[in-house]
Amino acid sequence: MRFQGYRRRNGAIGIRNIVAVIPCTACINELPKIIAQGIPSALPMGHNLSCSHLGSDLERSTRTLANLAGNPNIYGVVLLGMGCEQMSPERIYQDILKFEKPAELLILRDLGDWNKLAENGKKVAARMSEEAARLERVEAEFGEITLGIKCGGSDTTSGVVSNPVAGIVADRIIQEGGTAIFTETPEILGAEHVLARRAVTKDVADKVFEAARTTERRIDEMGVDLRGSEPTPANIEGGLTTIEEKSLGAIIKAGSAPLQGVLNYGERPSGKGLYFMDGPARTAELLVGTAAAGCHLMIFSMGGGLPSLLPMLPAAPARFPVMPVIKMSGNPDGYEKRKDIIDIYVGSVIEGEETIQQAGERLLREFVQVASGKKQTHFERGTYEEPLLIQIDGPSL
Amino acid sequence: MKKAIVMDQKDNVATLLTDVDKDDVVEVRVGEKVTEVKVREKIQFGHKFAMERINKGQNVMKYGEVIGQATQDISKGYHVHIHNVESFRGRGDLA
Repeated sequence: MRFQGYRRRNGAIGIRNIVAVIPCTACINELPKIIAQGIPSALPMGHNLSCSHLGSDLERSTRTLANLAGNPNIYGVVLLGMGCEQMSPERIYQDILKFEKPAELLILRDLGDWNKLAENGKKVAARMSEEAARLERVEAEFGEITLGIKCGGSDTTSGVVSNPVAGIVADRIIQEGGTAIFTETPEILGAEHVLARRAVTKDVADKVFEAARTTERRIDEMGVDLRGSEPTPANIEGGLTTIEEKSLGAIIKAGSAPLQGVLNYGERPSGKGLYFMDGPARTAELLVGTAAAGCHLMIFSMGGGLPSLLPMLPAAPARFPVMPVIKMSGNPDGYEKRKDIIDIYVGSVIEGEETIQQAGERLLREFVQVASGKKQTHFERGTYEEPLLIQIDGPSL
Repeated sequence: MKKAIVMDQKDNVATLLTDVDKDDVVEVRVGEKVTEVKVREKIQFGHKFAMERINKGQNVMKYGEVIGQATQDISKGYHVHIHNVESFRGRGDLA
């Protein structure tokens, strides 16, 4: 299969053409908003990072910011620093340059004035926006895609219909030489042995077990029964009884390809094929981590119930247009109430009107439309904004 | 006809694809085969019922894997959910 995308200097293909305005620290989150105001395709990308974090949190967040800027859907980057933050603006800038895209670093310490920084930022963003607008889409191969797959607002229909349908698209992209990434470590508990059996090496299998063990140990240290948080009360209402049941249904969304590797949060895969990212299930953090890993587009597989009535995504109320998200639901119960906020409905399988394979083909066609820019997803059209959430494990000081 | 699906031959529960009332007969798909089971209580869409008697302490199986353990005897056709199944995982309360 083929689609239309924007060819980047480093050979990658983008499906959107964004000018990202990114602060190195949350202290200056207001600046990207001031700068991006009124500039077509400019996207302010404030976030939750400041000097209040330590060690591995700092390391992960610095890597995540640079890799997020490197996402192929982003044409160019205006990077803003204070000059005193722990997340070295110079290091992030150098890491962004490795993606061979237009990038400029502006630092408050060097300019000495907030308004001057804003003025300079606007000029750079406006110039990049004009350059981006001159690019035209070209034909690209399906195998150039990196797909993100996530399930949320799950119920028992997720494992029966929408996750298997997502798996068909993952398998197809991998067959054509592409990459698919799924994550959510809490939602492999009880299914890690099934995933590990698909690992290409023992080392990869060990990493799957290690990721699950570490997450479960942290839960145990809280001294609580996970149930009520995983599965969530809404999951339980939808019929999911234990985390094991939820996990076994959840991993179906990753299709049937061999597992090539386990990534850290926000890390780029070193090859093609199927990868698991060790990270949180919470949607807002997951979106940033998978976009940083280079995902072009995400398939979000949903059940029904209350979470499916949200106009955006469960645990992600704000827009994140770096990576279009296709919302899919396979629950016919109450579908009428949410048909205007779901991109693709596959409950037709439960109703006996099509097979999982046919629904998968339909999702593939939708995918090509969205990737080629012929269609915007509901999540892309959102207007409510919040700072991006990057995973933090340790204390906030 | 009310419908349900069994995800794997090894399973001892079926997932309902419609709401059911007490004593409804449900058409259950297991792979290519279809059988009929009488459901013994009102159960909502998406929830599970026992395909056979599950004794207290026995594993509850779905997708051909263990999803938990029965905390009481569950007779065929009865609702299987958090009131009679316990998870083995993320049990910091027992640690």
